[in-house]
Amino acid sequence: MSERTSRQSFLGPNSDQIIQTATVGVVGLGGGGSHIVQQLAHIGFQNYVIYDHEVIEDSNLNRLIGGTVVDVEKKQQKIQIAIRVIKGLQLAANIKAVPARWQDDPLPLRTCDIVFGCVDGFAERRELEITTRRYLIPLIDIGMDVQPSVEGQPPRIGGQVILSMPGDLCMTCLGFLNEKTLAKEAARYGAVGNKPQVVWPNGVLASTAVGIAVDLLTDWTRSLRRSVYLSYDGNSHMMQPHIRLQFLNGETCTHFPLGNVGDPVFKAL
Amino acid sequence: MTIQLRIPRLLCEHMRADLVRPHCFATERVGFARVMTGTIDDGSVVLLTSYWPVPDDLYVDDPDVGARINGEAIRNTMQDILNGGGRYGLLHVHMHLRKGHTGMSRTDLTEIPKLVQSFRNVGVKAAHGLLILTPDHAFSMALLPGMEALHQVNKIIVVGYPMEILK
Amino acid sequence: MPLPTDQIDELKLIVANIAVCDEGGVSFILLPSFKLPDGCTPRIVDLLLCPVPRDGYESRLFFAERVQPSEKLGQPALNWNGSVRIAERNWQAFSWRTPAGLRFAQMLSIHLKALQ
Repeated sequence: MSERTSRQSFLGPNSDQIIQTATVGVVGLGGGGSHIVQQLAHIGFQNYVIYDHEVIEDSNLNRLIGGTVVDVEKKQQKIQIAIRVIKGLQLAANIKAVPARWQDDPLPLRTCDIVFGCVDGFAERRELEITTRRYLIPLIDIGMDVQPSVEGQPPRIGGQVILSMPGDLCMTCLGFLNEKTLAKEAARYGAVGNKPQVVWPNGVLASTAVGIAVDLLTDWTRSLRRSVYLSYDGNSHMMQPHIRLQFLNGETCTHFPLGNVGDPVFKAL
Repeated sequence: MTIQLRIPRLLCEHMRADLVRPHCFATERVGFARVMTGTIDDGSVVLLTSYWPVPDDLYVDDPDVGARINGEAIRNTMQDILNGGGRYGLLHVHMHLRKGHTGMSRTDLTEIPKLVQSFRNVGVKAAHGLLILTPDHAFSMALLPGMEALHQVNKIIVVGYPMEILK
Repeated sequence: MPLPTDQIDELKLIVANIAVCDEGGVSFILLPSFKLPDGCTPRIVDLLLCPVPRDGYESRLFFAERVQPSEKLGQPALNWNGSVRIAERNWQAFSWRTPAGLRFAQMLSIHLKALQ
């Protein structure tokens, strides 16, 4: 164990090697993903596959970790900011940086051991989960939203952290993805607008996601043994298991059978 | 060329538990795992989807080797591949009991590649190979479509709670 | 869930070599190299039919690429949604509603009416 990681020796005697060997994917390097890459780099991850096709704008500076005023002036790609953050902590990091939508260059994503999904929208989440399930990769999804003020009540910040583990409950099983929310989102297409976003809920969600990933890899708590679906209430500042989990004990996922993995096969009819 | 193998944890534990069961004369056990494949950056990923052990009565009593399976057991593997219609291939699976890294024994080197070639002959579009488990590690080789010979798998990942990355 | 064979047989009268891929609990029907109505550009394209409700539509027809139908006076432009990823390919679809309770061949026919 090196001096740099000596304070995280509680993660286990082999934790350094485990962390250095793992390949982590981060899809989306905005408010959530930028926190995640920073923390992964601090912890010591060496192998990254990162995706984002956007450039930073002034409105991102309230939450994009590592982004600067100069980046905005230069119209810097978010992916370059993430590379800078990672390399600032891990000089030898091996980074496969894809300045595109992952759907347009999916092969690198399939090399990951764990993928963090920091994307916008339910349809995007569905697509990412389908791919990670196909290639047997655990997906940790984070997201937040701000519901507008209603009848004089304050706005409400909400969010989620979901671990979608191949073989275990998926986001549809957990009720997070469903026809109703997907239909509502599809109906809004073309009128998306700029969603409210702030840095601290993203930080809470991202930190939790990173903690889950480290636990999955090192098993330091020896207690992570089932799906994770955490619900964040930004008004009461609390993160707790989603109530739906109580009703899913013993349930198994029927949406992604193990016999349907790998490159898709179209069966002639 | 990168080859990864991903094994669901529940299957990995099931295989390990199955392969240490005592047999009345064989000192090792053999099973077969179905695998499907995916294309990844600069290579392929082999995905283990199910496992079936060789039934006890299909072993041959051969004191010179840990385990020898009979003709019926081998025919069953061929039939399984044919039944799959090319959707999946097979890995020959067995276990070395000593903890830590492992590799192919002299008997493994003599016998298993021939069997894998037989798998290829009936299922040319699928990946086939071998997997050797230890209590805490694994070794694998794969014969992917288009390949002429078995290649060592670079990375084996046990997917589940917790994950294990075996390089 | 297996697809009804009578409806598959009907579809095969239109396109002989159809295939199915299951993903996320849905069976998608591939109609490869489908010849689109006169005037479409491109004329031949892979189609993917989702025969069950999805994202608020009773059925959806996905195209391997965006298609330009022949221009007709007064006909509004197709409202193409963003790209969709299914079976590890990117597909395009335009917003077009079909009624509930249609057979596969009917779904296909109504979706293609948008291009005529």
